[in-house]
Amino acid sequence: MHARAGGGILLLTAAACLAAAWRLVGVVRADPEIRWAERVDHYDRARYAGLADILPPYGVIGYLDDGGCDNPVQGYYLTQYALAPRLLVEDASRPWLLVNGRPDQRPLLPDGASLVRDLGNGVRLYRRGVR
Amino acid sequence: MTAAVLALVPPVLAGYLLACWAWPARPGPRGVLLRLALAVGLGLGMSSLTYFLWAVAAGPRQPGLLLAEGLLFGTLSLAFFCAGREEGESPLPASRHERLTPPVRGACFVVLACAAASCAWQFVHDPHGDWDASAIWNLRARFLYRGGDPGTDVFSPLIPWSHPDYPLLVPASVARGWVCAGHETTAVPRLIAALFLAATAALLMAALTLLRGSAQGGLGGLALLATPSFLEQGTAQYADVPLAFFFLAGAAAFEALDRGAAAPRRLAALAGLLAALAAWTKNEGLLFLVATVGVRGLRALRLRPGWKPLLAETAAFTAGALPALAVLAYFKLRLAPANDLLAGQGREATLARLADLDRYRIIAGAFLGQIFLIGPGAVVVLAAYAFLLGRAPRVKGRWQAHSGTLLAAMLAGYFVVYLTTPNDLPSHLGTSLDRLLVQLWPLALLAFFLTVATPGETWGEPAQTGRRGPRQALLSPAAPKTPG
Repeated sequence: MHARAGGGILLLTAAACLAAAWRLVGVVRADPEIRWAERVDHYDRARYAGLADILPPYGVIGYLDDGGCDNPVQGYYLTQYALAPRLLVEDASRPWLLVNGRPDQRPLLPDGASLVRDLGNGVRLYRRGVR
Repeated sequence: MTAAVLALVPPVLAGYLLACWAWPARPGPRGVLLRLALAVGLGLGMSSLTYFLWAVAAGPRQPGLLLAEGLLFGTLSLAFFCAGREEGESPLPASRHERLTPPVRGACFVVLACAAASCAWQFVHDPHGDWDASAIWNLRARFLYRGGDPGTDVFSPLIPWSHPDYPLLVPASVARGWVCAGHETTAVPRLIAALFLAATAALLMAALTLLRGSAQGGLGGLALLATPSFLEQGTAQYADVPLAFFFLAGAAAFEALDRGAAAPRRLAALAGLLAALAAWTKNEGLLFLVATVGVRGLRALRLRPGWKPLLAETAAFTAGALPALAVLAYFKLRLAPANDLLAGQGREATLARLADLDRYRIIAGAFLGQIFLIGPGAVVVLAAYAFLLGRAPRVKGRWQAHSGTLLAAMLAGYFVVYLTTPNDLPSHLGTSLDRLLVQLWPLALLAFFLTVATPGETWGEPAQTGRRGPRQALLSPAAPKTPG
């Protein structure tokens, strides 16, 4: 019985030490998630800087991805995160329309919308019903 | 940031005194560790409730929150302090004084150090957490803090991918921290994530130490801290580890009650509060609440304790759960949109899903595969450990299966949720099952180390012999203590 119990504890502690060390090494050596953190920071601080004063403080804003992010879903989520508590919906017919595009791309001009602000980084804000 | 930390003191102090009032334990490090761990969860849970009510009633950044909270938690602290604490302790087996020898304790410290270092690395290098932190939990915190209209914006169904029906313990705690800090900072969600990670590990160790002895407590903590997925979900700033904390705490309270702890009604009330806070953390917590009630009903059927103790326990559990459940009911009934999983049900569609045998096969396969991936391979190691150590001696006429039965009920509940999900099944499994199992992992370890024999029990030697023998290679007896 002594050998069995001792073996059990040795097995458990050895496996635990290996798993813990393996994870530590893996976390430190892994392809850093820093890219994700940088992307969140970029959307949070830089990409939409200058829009906060123009956009209404809350309410619904239309959102259109036009190649602004290599992962459109991610771009949409991060835009929502940056601009909360405004609600961003993927609907180009809204009075306010935010286009997340690329700076080298020819600007997309939605029907009946006028350009309010072009941030120069591919982000353009349009508004309908205003001359 | 200092202000955010200081603002946690009143609710955590109230949580500590509540834990002292409810959970009997003799003074000493293990009792302090247990109560500190409980205090973190209770403090964060209670302050998230008060912040949510304040935000809805007065506005998210109205001055006076801290004053109102100070009064409330001060009164609560005074009430629990005056009500006194239970100094008795549940009757514990002889193994309570088993101590792991320095080499095994050294291994525990290695695991603890590796876990702390890897978590610290992730908190520093990934301050925003993982994907869902920005898409769900911290996004909702921003809505609360930045002051969207709760009636239209904060819980709007227009962005269903952000799951606006999810309960608010984590987002409200983060928003409250920002209010106290005076600005948005990633330090607050990181602090909350770190507190729940540490509290869950500490609670598992302390609860096992109190219920089954120091050796079992150390080994349980070792197993949890060596589980990569648990640490990953914790540092991701999701709500799954906070939920795991409340699952564990609620189950441990009933385990103490079932093992003859003093003040069973207070423990039942504490278990009720913890189960309700689980429901306030994530929707899965509602399932936990129902499963807990079901398991207690099963215990009553098995043991037939009589109506009086059963009613007393049920009344205390309900009283403990009521405050948090009332806030949750207000949120769910007045503010939150319908849950996507429930809204997608219909008589014919649900019956068709239930009758589809392929779905059972897919879900069972995914469960088995994902369970094996915890660790990975942790279940294999634990199975071998259980085979070598054997089963703990059973006490006749005592219900010692609360955690295990609860775990089985939760797994069955999750199985049914997947069975009836209106979403694409493989995708739903692929994006959520790993997190659901992490929620249950600390509870599973509690059940496991309560069920498996302690090293001393396997050796068949009394723990208080003080003799030097072969067991000294891994265990050493502590100085004898006088119980009670």
